[in-house]
Amino acid sequence: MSFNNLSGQLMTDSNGVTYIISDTFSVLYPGEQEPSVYEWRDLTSLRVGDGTITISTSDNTYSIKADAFESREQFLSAKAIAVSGAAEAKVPYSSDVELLPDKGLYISRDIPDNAVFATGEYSIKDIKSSLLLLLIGKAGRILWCVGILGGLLALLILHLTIGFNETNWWYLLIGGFFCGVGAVALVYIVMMIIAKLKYAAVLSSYAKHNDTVTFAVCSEGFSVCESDIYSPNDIIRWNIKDTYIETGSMYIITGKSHSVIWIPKSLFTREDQNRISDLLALNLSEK
Amino acid sequence: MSDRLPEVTADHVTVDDGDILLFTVKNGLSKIGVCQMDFATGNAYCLYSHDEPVLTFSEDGASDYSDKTFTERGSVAASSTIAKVIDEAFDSLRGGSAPEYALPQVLRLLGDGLYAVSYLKAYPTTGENMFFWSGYGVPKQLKYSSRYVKLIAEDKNYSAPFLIASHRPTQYDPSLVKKASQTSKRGNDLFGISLHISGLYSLLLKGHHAAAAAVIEDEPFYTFQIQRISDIWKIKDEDGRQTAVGFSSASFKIPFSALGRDQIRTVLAARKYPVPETYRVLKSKLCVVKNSNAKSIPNQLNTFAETCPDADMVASAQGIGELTKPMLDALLAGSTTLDDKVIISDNYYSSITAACNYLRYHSTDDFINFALSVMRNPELSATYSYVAGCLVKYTDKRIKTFLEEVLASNDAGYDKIMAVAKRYIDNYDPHQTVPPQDYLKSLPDYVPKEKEKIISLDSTKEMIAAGEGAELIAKHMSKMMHDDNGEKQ
Repeated sequence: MSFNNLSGQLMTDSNGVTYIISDTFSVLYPGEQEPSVYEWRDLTSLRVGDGTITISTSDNTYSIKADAFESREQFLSAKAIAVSGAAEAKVPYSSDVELLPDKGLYISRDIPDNAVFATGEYSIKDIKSSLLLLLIGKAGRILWCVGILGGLLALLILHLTIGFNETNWWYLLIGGFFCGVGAVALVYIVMMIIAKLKYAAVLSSYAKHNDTVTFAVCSEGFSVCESDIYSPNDIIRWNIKDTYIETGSMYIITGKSHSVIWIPKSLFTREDQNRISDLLALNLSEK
Repeated sequence: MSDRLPEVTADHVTVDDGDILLFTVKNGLSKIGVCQMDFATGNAYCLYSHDEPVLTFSEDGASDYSDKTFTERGSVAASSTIAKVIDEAFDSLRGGSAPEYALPQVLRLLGDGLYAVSYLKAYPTTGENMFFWSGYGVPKQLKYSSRYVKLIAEDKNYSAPFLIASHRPTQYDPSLVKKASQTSKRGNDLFGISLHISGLYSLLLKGHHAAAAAVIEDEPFYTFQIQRISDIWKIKDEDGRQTAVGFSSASFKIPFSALGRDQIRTVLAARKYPVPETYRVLKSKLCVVKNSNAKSIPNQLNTFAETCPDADMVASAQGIGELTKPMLDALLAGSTTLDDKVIISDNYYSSITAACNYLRYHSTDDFINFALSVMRNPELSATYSYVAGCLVKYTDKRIKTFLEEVLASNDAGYDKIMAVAKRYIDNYDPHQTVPPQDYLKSLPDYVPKEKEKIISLDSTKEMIAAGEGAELIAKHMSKMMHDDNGEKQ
């Protein structure tokens, strides 16, 4: 189980029910002597929302609401322990899409002293601009296809309705081209709206808490974690199937098994940026 | 370090097995504890004393029945503060204080949780008749160091009598053994303080020389064993579901009903392997610390330690409830059951080996009689090698006579034990062992070392101011050279 640096968390909600998230999950009802204790493998599911942790067992579902947590740090600690416990026990868990990587990806492995470290906050502006580039990077081929197919479809429709002949073929060809461009623009705008809707909640959630983040990148892997709960003994190992994109302001790691991971360049010196570029190139493939 | 003060409370809890002395540690200092350690070869665990790695161990499998491989690394008393606390607790216990008054200071050094303290007979061997200092620093897989022991039912508590040294062999001093034989006693018992690690094994925190004295004198050695109780004790409810009903450890099961709400909260909130503040130092020390085997321990101690039971014997003695004569007769008749009840195990070979170890633990004479009966039964030939291996550990005329018969008979059924039999007869009583009392008397008397005179910095300043600096340096160098020569001698 990772995040051994964090102590077990005790939360008491407004009804007086005490929840303990540690190497086990326990619930103590007011007035009752004996607790309900579950090992992480006893859980049926775990859901972590923005300020709420919902734990389901075979006989009950416990929802630890925001009011039970004394501080943001306590919520983050409880979340990290619960998610790493569930991940180790292979219990299905889910969480809202977050700016920071899933805590279940971490394994117990020391981050060496020669890693590249930085601490700071994300710039929402940088993320938004990188998001556009990421979108183009992700959807570039699709947009080309949409453009070509849109153009061909327009030409076919024009041919069937007006018909090509020696005098109008040039105008119809230009019309087909602009139809393709229009299709691309339309699809791009739709994708932008979807992406903005998808990330708006994430960005506003981050902006709300404005957590300071500790970044560490080394040959073993990397860590992007809230500084309040950062552990130098836990790491996300490089996954050869992941890819990365380097934009002007951000290193972006993408993969099927996790949400997008952002590492802002502005927090690192030029020399450290070069080292990160080398490490990314060495361990992942560039998109 | 936590700015909250450590709180240690002692309670007596009555459970089905009797009265248990329990300590609850809240805001513990975690100066002594176990942490997970990331090695190049994979994750292992390190028992540390502040910034000193004392013992590392790794699991040789993922199961609760997997034995662990241990390596002694350093001394638990490397920090003078920790050493002082343990010494004071030991002195207090030696003076007759009850553990609830003597041990809280030691408990403050541990992490949060629930700890039971028991006074039990212990063996200063690592489960294989070898004195605990003999294999110091050498990685060794210790038998029955797993959470559960194969021969003992999971729902049964067992004691952990074997001891792993937490002091380096370089600290062995024969004069201290002689001294400990007279002074390290609580009443008439030679004793120490130990901390349970896993399975049948504990780490001896204090009392190494007393343990050596006990082995030499063939006296029992006892320890106040501190055992952390952190496992969740589960039983099947009416619907067949596993429900948590309390906490458990190797030797104790404590129902939630016997504990206060605050105690329960403390145990449930405590992490099993918290990361100590000194993690980086521990790791760097583990990379450079070399196993210290420079000082060899007298081989005589190993000879004396051979009288201690081994891990098989202890596990069998604790795992088998009873072994009556009709049961033994049934086993000799080739049956693993008596009155439709399994005697020890469904497996015949396991039953015979466990019966041998059980008898070896309780009565050597009964064991020899049973083993010779097994060896004389041609239908039990599958067990001959194991049983003969146990038999030859004893010097007894009946064994010698039997093995002479075996050699003379040239029976093909005994082929596997011919070499063992020949070796036993060749080495039968060839050497005289030194009587324990003579050995102890031969050890040098303890002479307290003179404390070195400390030159205060103030006086040094005055001497330098008075122009006596050169003389001071000359004195210092002369002392250094003298010390150096002394060490070489």
